[in-house]
Amino acid sequence: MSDQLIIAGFHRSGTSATARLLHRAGLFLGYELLEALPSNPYGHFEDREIVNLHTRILSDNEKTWAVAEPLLPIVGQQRWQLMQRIIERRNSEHSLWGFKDPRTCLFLMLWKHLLPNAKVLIVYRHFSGSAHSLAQRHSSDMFLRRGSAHVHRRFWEDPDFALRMWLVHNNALLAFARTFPEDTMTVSLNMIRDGFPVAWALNRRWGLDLEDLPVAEAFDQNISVRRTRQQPVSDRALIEKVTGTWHRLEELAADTEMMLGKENTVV
Amino acid sequence: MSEDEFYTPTDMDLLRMENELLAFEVRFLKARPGGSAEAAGSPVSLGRLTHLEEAETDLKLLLRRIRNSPLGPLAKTNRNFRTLEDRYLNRSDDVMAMSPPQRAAYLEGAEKDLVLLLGRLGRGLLGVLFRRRKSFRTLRERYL
Repeated sequence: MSDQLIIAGFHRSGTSATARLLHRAGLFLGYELLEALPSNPYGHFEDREIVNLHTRILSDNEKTWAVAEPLLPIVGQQRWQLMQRIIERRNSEHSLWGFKDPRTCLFLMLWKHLLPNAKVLIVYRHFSGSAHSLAQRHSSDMFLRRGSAHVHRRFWEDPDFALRMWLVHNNALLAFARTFPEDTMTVSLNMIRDGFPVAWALNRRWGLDLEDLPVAEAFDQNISVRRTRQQPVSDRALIEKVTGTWHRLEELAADTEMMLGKENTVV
Repeated sequence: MSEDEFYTPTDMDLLRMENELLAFEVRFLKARPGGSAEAAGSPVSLGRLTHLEEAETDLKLLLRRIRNSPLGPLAKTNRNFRTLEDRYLNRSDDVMAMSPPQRAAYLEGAEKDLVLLLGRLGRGLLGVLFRRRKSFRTLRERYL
């Protein structure tokens, strides 16, 4: 019997650093992890097989990774079969495994359908931090002619594009957390950077067998800069939606701290 | 769908985004003293790259349409069509992993293949049918 832990969070929210930490703590994250890039110097900790699957499902639905509207994906038989194969192989070879890919936010319900006991670690970051980091990455890639210029340009042609992406992905995470509160743990990037013992907390909550490493060992303080400056916005109708989502995520993270605090005092 | 679902960017929005991009460009250039963007990436200009990407997208859409049309089974018996299918519809992962010069070469190839395909489709008896379609005429005007 295997345990599964899925790390889910929007792009540029600290999921790679979190995955790096849990990878070192003993979580198997995949057979072929994507290589590092300047925007993620320690690597993405994303399994190529899982990323390819998610990319194909998005492509089947005529989407790229840059999803900025709510998505109800249509999944063909072939994709379900591939998901099943991915699960069977990992279940047979690992007692604890998981994966990390920001696209997972949009597919959590699918994975949960096939993995009813899977636990999900939600990692979130303030919208201004994520949006700024995305803009920085895509401006650099655009100036270096790396990747799709069309995709890069959207961040400066489509107002509030990154903000709407943040909203869609984090709303999907909230929907999952509401549906499966017992199988979800929410932490913010700030919490992790400030030393929240993620592996310990996961062990306490779900009895996983992760090594409790000090966060500083795997989390480079220089990489993820705290950034909660004012966010430029064109469509003011977004403000209420974004702040509402942000507050709900903060409430979930406060629940995590409170729950583990309580458990700690009982023992 | 209500009007609230729609939104027209104003000049102010566009100016703001342009301004932000310029700020990133300044920061990017400052961080790379002595090095130009062209030296590190592909020699193709940004405008040309965007055009080539559009050609690749149009080619993929055209191939998908042919594949899913009643002509699909017939097209699949053609080796050239199968080659294009393999090259542009079945290898999205390879393309993502390409270096900037490789990607530029791949996109140049896609544009050439699109021009050839449009030329072939526009000929003969079937060409008469294709040319009746506005979307096909638009593609021909754009690339031929």
